[in-house]
Amino acid sequence: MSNALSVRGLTKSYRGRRVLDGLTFEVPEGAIALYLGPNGAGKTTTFRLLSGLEAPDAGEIHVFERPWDPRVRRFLGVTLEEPRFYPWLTGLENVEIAFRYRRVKNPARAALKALERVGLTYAARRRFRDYSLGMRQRLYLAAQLFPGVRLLLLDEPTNGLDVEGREEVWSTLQALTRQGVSLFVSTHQVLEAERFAEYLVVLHKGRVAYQGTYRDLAKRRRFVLRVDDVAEALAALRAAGFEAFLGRRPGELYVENTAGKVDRLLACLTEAGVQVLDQRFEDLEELYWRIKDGLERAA
Amino acid sequence: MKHDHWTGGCPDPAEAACAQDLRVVYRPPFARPKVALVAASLRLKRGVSLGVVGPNGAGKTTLLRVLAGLIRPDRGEARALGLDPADDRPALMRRVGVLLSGARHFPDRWNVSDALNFVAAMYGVPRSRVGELVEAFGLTGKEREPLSALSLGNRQRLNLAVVFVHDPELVLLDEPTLALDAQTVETFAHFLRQRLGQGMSAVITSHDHAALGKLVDDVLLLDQGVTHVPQGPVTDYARMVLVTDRPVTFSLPAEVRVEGNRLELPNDPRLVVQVLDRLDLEGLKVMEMRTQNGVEVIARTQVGGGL
Amino acid sequence: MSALVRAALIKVKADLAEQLRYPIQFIFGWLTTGAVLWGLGLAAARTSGTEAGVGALATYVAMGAVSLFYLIPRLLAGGKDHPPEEAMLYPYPLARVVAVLASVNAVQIALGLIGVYFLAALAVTRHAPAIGVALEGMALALLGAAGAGFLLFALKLVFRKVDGLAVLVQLGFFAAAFTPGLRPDWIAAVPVAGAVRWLREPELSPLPVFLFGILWVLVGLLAVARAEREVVARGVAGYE
Repeated sequence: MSNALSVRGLTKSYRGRRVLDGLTFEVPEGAIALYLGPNGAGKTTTFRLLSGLEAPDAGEIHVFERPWDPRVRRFLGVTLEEPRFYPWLTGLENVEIAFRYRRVKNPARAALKALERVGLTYAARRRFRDYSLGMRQRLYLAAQLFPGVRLLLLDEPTNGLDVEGREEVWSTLQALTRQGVSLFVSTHQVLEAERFAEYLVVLHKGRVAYQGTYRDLAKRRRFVLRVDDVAEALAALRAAGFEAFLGRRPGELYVENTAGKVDRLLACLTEAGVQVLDQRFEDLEELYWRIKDGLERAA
Repeated sequence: MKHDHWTGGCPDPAEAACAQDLRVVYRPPFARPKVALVAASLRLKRGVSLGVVGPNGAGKTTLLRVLAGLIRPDRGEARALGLDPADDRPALMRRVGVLLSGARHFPDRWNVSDALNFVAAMYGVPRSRVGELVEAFGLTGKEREPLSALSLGNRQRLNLAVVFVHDPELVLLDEPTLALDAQTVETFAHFLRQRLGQGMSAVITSHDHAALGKLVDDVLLLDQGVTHVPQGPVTDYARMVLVTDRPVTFSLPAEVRVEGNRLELPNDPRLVVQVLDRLDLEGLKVMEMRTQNGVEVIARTQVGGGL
Repeated sequence: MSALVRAALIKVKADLAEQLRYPIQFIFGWLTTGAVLWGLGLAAARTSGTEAGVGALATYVAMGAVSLFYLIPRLLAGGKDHPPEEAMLYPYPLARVVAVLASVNAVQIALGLIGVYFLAALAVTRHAPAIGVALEGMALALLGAAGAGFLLFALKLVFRKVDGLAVLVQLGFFAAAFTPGLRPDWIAAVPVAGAVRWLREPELSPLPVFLFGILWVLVGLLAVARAEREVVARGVAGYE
């Protein structure tokens, strides 16, 4: 499995402030890789460097195993800012114009094909100003689906969209990976990562806090229990040999995943007279906090 | 999901907020009327935080506006803190904090102190309260910063602080977590919980279902102007999704919804483990295991699809 | 009520803070304004045949009144082209908020302009002008202008894009006040023009102008109250 993207030691500072600090990660080919991090963490900066809009202060970028050079743009699509589409032209015409800029052969035919890929054929001849937000996001995507595109860098493609809009965009993205396009999508919404990521690169203070498959990260899930007496519960569980910790929220505690022993765990608590108000598996957001806390403590 | 509404109007003045079968129509001059709410109902007790989710254009902001007295419903009844919002808006505003579309606007050249002091003076609240809020919302050290120079995140903190200046009994927040990082959301959640414990109530709308999950106890789904009430608390709706390598052909406990090789079940470790053991027994490999928070699940419920 | 006044003062202070940070530019700005207005006043006096000093004063008064008229619809707008919904989130009826904010601004304008008028008069004519008359004239003009301003605020709240109308009205005020020979009997009812006319003929009683001014204010505030109710009925305060 080759890498669509390979970044080593990427560093960038703005006005004396170091935004990216020796960033090193890989993005596999043909998958949905999510770039996760809070706003201002450096995701957009990374994309600007990867697309060649700016040069890094240090570090190397390899795209499909080859060192970065401007020709990379022939198969690299980027959505960073909203492109300036003309509201009075149709969706199809706007994409055609974008393709003409790129000197795509047969831009009209390529534009139609691009619209097909994002599921907007039905609105091809509708004016852009009549497009809903979800449709607009998909059109931005279409403008990057020029012939030969192999890797897409998408900066928060579901920003500002409601539930339906997000579903539309994500099903389009999933369809694209099935067609062989590699996706590197930035987001600060952990819930989206939870649902759609196959691969994750977590950014924290300019460095990579975690990178790997979603599955591997998800394996680290602990149980989260909300109880009426945390101290009692902790004592009881530890005495029974479980690895239990105080949770982030009041009344909550975590127990290391001990798959076959859930019944024993719950029985132990019942014996200790502790009432379990809620029990579930840790979600990605909590895993994410753990990664950050771990880094912070190590720093 | 329950499709029936409450009935009987809003007779209880002790409720923090109440709405019964609201029908709301916008009537801008020289434009066509636009129906925003068709049949919306809501019940909010004191000390409770209620989230409202739904697609864009469903009417979430309109619902808040009705409770704030900014629009009078065509039909139906609305009450906030026992008052009719449209009739008694100024009196209500003394006890209610409102944040619409995530923002409060002040002239750009004002600084943080100016904005807070102005609002404090408008409500007749002592200056000392301003200091408390600056601290609670992490704006210490930024009091002299002009608003135009604030980052989006800090601007949002100010917007939130302004809502609480007069110690409201009820807050109506539309998209309060825009531009806030996860840490700030947690801090705000903590602040909110304290106030809720003191009897304050809240109605909060947001697209960010992860953040909303931290701020609310109950959720109301609003879709195309109609409200739908989930059967239980949000936590009941947390889900675990399992994807196996082959479709499931055997039967599993009733709470597990099976669609080929995709299983959806409540995020209850005992049940999950039971299912995992069963899958293991039948020789199926689990390729994916993903959680979904309750708010997200409720928000994605299609009307009629049910849960 | 006092809370509202205190808030208004804070607003004034905050609005001025930016300018006071550059005191030299601030003072220079006012001096330039003073000089320009004096010059305009002299020119106006020439064309209409009135005495130079009165002409100058008339210009100051008109300028102050029209400034207030311009300001009122923008009192709570924060730079947008319509008053935001938030104006209605305060625990007061909108008319009261607007009235108090307008009053505080009116006092600011009156003191500021009359102060500059005083200094300019001293500089040019070398003796102090009659401040009483100046203040009275300014007050009369401000009343009418405020009323008209409230009316425009009300229209803006419901109909949004009334800037074109506002500009026309401003021009109308100046025209009514300074067109030579335009002196119908009912001029006392016209904001700004009525006050300017009284300045030119101080032997006339100021009462009609005063009463009409009060009437304008009442009508204006009633319009704001009515607009508030209309906006709630239609739900258009925040509707884009």
